[in-house]
Amino acid sequence: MSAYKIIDHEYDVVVLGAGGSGLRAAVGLSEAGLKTACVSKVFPTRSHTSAAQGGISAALGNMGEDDWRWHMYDTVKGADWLGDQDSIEYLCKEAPAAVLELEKYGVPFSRTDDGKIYQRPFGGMTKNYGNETVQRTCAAADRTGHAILHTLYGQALKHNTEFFIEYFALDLIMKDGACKGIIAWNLNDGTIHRFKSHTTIIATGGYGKVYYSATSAHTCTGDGNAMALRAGLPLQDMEFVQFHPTGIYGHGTLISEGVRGEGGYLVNSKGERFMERYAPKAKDLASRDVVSRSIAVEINEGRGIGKEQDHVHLHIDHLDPKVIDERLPGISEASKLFANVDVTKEPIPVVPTVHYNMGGIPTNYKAEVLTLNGSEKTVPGLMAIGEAACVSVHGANRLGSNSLIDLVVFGRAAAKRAAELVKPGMKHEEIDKNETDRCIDRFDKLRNSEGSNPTSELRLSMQKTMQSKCAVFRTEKTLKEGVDEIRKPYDGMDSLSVKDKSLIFNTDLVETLEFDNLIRQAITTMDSAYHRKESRGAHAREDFPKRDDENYMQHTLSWCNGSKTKINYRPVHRSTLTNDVQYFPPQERVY
Amino acid sequence: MVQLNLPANSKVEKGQYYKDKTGSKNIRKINIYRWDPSKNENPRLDTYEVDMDNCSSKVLDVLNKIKNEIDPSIAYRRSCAHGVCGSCAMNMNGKKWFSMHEVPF
Repeated sequence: MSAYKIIDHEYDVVVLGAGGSGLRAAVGLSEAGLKTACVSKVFPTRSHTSAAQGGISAALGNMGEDDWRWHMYDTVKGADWLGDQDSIEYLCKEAPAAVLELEKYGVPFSRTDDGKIYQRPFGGMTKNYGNETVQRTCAAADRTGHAILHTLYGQALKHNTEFFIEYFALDLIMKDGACKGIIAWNLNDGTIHRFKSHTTIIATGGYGKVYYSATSAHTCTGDGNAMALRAGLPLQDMEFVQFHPTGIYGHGTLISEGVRGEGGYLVNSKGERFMERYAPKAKDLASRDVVSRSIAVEINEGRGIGKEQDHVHLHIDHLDPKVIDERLPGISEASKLFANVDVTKEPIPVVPTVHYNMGGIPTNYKAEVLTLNGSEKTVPGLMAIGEAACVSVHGANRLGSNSLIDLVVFGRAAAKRAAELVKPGMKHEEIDKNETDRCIDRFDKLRNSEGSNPTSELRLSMQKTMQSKCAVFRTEKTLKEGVDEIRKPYDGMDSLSVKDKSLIFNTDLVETLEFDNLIRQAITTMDSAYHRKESRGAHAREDFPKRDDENYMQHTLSWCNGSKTKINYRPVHRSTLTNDVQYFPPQERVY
Repeated sequence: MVQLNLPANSKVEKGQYYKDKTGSKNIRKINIYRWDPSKNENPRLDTYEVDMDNCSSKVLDVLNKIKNEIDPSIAYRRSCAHGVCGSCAMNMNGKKWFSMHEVPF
């Protein structure tokens, strides 16, 4: 494989991904004096954090009394008790300081009349352990993620983080079960780069693009997750895929939960505010899995809207146009653009749309990657944060605005932990040549594919299978069919066709590498879903409608070799981190 | 008067013509500027006939359709699919804007 020009780099730490969590980690690492590289396949401010709209949760108490323990209870309940409560405690306790830090960095938050950070109500966020709605979600209008991403990029530039932009990461470099760095392909000049690092932090985001209709960016292909699978590591809780209740019908564009937070509500074809029936207390602000299932039931029972009766309406036309203009300007624009709707006069047609992956690379609350080898073991030299990680704070269902706080709290935690483990300028080990060869072999084989199946066709087949067999509601029958069908596009790679052979900005090859990443995650998602015979959070089985704490208070771990998976389980952590709060034992989940 | 010209190797040449294979009655011709830095060739304009009956309305959708169904070698940046990240900005008939916001002229 000497045909490829390989350029070597040595860094104390390599961060893979430049979204909210990657950038927050990079800032912390550079502050700690570590030589840090940040590698991203897109320009940092194009990362999908930019699409986060509604806000970032933290019990600041700017709009009335609040307590991080209430936030913790809501998160535990939202997670349907699948979250690890030590990690959730860490998240909620650290959240207020993390938001104030963002404020100090310069995030332009919306303000209250007395100049404090404005906080809005959000789904599942309550007062006093589930009693009434609380305003906990800090917002910069409806462009909170965008504001945070741009601010963090500015901060990372202020420090000495070195950016490798439009580098597509190919594989982890492993040695005796430890991670020693990564290999990446520079899209701009076609060279291959080998980064040696003492710690590698995966911050590559979710893999929403395994589905046909998703609010995810085209770039959300979970590349880091697939790199972990290829390195022989498991992914955790992959069956838990969040459907956001309000994606624009036919287009999939996200309409923030903040819309319902500001007073928007859903109606069916009879004009009923149906959420009153499913969640008498929280109504339209119940947790996302609950609202998505309710919409799906309304549609299935014939009360959907439109010619095909396949969507519902979201109203904000009763709100003061001034409020819409100030707090939801992006929503009005998106609705006009993608649904041709004037939100001050007409409702927005919406449908549950794939939005977030609770599952990912298993980690502890310090962001260190875990694997199961008899018992829980950390993987030396490897960390994961953000949507790519499964800490697990979101368990079976994430609450809205808990993802942005996840990014900054665990981005910061990763940097802190790496600074404990790595000292600036430590010597690097030699890397086994086999690791590089294995990676380049795969790359070269895909690049020179001369078969008859275009990547776009295999991808479409995978997306349609996921969409129909692993949707809001699942059954033994659909999942069994799914388990078989999802392997067809994988087998289709035996006769793959890649037309473009160049090495410079070859997006045909990029999409092929991304598909190779996606299909492995699609397979682990489908298989994990098939094996979980209960309903919990976002995983709703019609044939097993109840939660089964006796058998399934466990995280699914799934290894994947080719199209073969191995499923195992590890128990949910049933204790908190400190004595500041008591463990919340499982209860029935009603909103 | 001084005459300003493009250097000879930057002159845009006529490229390939991709004829419609679907038999659609609603065809739109899309010209795309192509240049491959790894080859020693001038830039060119390739023309694609696109079946607009089975394509949604924005420029980026048309490009995705061409890339998925006609010619996977075309290259452009795109990311968020929400009109917020800015990746898909390009020059369309002289107008520089997000291709996912723009209906083909």
